[in-house]
Amino acid sequence: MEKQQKDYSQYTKIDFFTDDLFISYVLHPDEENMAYWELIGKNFPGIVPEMEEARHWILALNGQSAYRPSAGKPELWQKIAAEIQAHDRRQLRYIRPIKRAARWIGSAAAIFILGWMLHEYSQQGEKEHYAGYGAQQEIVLPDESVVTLNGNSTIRYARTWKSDKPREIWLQGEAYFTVKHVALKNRLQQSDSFRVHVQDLDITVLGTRFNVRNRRTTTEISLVEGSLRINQTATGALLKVLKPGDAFIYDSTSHELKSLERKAVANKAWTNNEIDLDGYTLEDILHILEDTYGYEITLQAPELAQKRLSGTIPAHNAEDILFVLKKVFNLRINQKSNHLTISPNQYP
Amino acid sequence: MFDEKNIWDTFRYGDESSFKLIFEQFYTPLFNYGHKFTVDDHIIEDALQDLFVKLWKNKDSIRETSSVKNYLYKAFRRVLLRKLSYAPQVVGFSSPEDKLDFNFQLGHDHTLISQERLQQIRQSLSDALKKMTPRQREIIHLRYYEEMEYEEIADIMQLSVSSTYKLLYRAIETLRNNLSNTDFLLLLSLLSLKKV
Repeated sequence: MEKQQKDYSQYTKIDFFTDDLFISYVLHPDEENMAYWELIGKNFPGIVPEMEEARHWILALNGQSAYRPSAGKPELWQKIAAEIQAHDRRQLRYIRPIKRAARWIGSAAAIFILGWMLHEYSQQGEKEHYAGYGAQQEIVLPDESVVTLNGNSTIRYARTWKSDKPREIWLQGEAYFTVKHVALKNRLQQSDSFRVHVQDLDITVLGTRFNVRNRRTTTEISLVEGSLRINQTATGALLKVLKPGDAFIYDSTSHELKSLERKAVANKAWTNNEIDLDGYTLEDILHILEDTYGYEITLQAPELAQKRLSGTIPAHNAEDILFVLKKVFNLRINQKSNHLTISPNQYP
Repeated sequence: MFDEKNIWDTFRYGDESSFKLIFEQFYTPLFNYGHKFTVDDHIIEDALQDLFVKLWKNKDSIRETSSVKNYLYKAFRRVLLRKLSYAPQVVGFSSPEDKLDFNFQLGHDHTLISQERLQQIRQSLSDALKKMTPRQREIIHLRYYEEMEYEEIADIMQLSVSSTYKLLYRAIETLRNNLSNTDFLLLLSLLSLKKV
């Protein structure tokens, strides 16, 4: 054993008293350490009394009986138990619910902020406006151009417009545009143009006023003022350059662009809450009621479909239009929620 | 068998019966330890009550521990010392020596040492302990009674390990001085015996 190399001959009781090995032998004797210290005793007989005395010191210190207080353990536990139970009741009654509520509010706030951030982030690229059935909305674009959205129509555009890129709008439905002219005189650049993408057409303008009506498979473009160019989105082919007063209709199924007999100005009458009926058949008007005001209409008098009217009628709401139709064509209109059944009035 | 770790964990999850077991287990050792600081039972009892109520209140934030004993000794020492410093009129570190009692229980095998000698050992130890500072007494208690390692003592007494060695060394010095004194007396008595 390596430990045996140690010279214990000069050890005093104090040395033994502070020796970790000796202490553990005294307090926890086992075969190994007993054999070891007995051997030490044999090798250095002179120190045996010192060892014995140190042993007794250690035993004396270790063997002190624990101090026992006069007051009892159960009594103290009673006090502690009463206090912790009161604490638990308080926790249960007030603090926990408050903590829970705070946690709930905290997570609700976190979710709200997260949702808001996601919303903001999703809106980063594009902004979208939608006008519901029978509603109109006026939107001022980043370049101060104004778009009036008719009912059931949507525009989308990039939130920020860079000055070196054309201004671009995506349209579904009907809208009237008053585009601000940003080009300097005689310095026309590609980036000065304003572009409306609608169905499969690209309409490119400078400063101008025009109406675009995209319903079902047709797109009507009516230029009130300025100049306007129509291209096919897919091919980029130039279809037409419009002059003020021109009104054209493009059919996306037949890819045909036809001149409209109606005046261009008549097609923006809706922005003044009117409908200019010149050139409209009853069927056209019913389509407007369906597309812009969200009705479903069944006409039970097919012979009336191609009948025409002229003049301007108020169109603050669908009832205005229906009232006029009813009177002029002598119709009976049955309404079930948004479903209209129109038939000739049998009893005039 | 008192499964310290398991009981500590169930206590931390709010099991009151485990908590009571911890109290039962450590009441006497802690009381005894507290008695090294003050002879006022009420203060020790108050400190114990504070300690255990605080443990329960903070059980959610108490972490697992490698030694419940060390954790409790350390916490109890802090609570008790604060109490003692707030109550200066009560005997604390400056407790009168005559009130201290060291209940030595001597070993049963006195083969090599006479009963008389054992009595002397008891007396000289008692005298030496009375001459020690309270911190010296505390370290002797933790080392020889609680059988703690230097690292554990350092942790409980909030000392560095080297300071712990130094403090214990000074305590032993006091012991040595006192015991050599006794030895001197013993020598004298032996001499006088021879004379007779």
